Amino acid sequence: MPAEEKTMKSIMWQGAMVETEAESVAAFLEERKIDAATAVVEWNGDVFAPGDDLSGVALSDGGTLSVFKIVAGG
Amino acid sequence: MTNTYLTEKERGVLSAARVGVAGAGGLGSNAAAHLVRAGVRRIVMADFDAVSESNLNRQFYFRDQIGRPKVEALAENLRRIEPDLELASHCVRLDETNMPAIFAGCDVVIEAFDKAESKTAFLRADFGGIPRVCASGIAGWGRSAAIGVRRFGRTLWIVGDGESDINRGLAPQSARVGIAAAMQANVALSLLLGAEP
Repeated sequence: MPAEEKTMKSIMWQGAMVETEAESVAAFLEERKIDAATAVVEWNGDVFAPGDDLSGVALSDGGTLSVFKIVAGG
Repeated sequence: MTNTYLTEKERGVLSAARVGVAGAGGLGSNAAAHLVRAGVRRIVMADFDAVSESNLNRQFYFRDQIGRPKVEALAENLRRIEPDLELASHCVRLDETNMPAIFAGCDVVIEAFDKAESKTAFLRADFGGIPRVCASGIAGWGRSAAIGVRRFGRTLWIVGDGESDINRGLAPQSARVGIAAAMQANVALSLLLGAEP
C-alpha cells in the first residue's frame, strides 16, 4: 500500500510564513525540537497548556501557530 | 494612602477589585507592592515558603524578616504602604488542584512562581476563565527590551522573553525580575481599568 501523500501547507509561525508537511501541531513542534510539555501553544486562537496532547490538533493551510516557552525564574 | 493621580472612579474600580498572587517571591512580592501602591486593596496571596537570606537580592522583604512565612511578612510590608487592606494569606504549597479554589472570585491572578513545574501547574489549572498573567524568561541582566507581553487567547498574558532560564545558569536578579513583576502588575491594572495590556 503506497504511503499517504503529505500536502504542503503554509502557516504563520511565530510571526513569519513557513511551509510544512507536518499534519499536526505536535508533529510540527517535534520537527523543530520544541518540547510541548514546556510551552504554551496557540493555534488559530485556541490555547493549549504545557503538556496538552497536540497530536490530534490538525495543521491547516493559512493557520497561525505560536508558542511561548515556560522556563524557571521568579 | 490615596493614589491622588487617579480619578475617583478609577480608585473605586481598583479598591473593589480582588487580585490573586500565586507565589510571594521575586515576582509576587514586588507585583503585590505595585498593585497596592496603585490602589488595589483586596489581594489573595499564597506561598508555602519562608523568607531566606538568598531572597533579599530581589524580593520585597527585609533582613529582620528572615525565617518568617513569606505571606505573613509580605502582608506586614504591604500594610506599611496601606494599612487598610483586605488580605487573604494562604501559607500553602500551590498545585494544579488547589489553585482554582484558592483564587476563586479573583478578577485577575498573577502567576509568580520560580520553578517551571509550578508555572506549568498554574497554566494547566482550570481557573474558569479568570484572566491570568504569567511570567517566563526573566533571569539574568541586560536585554531589558527583550521582556515583552504576549497575549494568548482571551484570558492569558505572559510577560518575559521565554528564554532566560535560571536553570541555564542565569541568576535571578532584582532589576530584571523587578521589570517583569512591574509589567505583570501593569497588565493586571490595565485589565482592571480597561486599557491595552
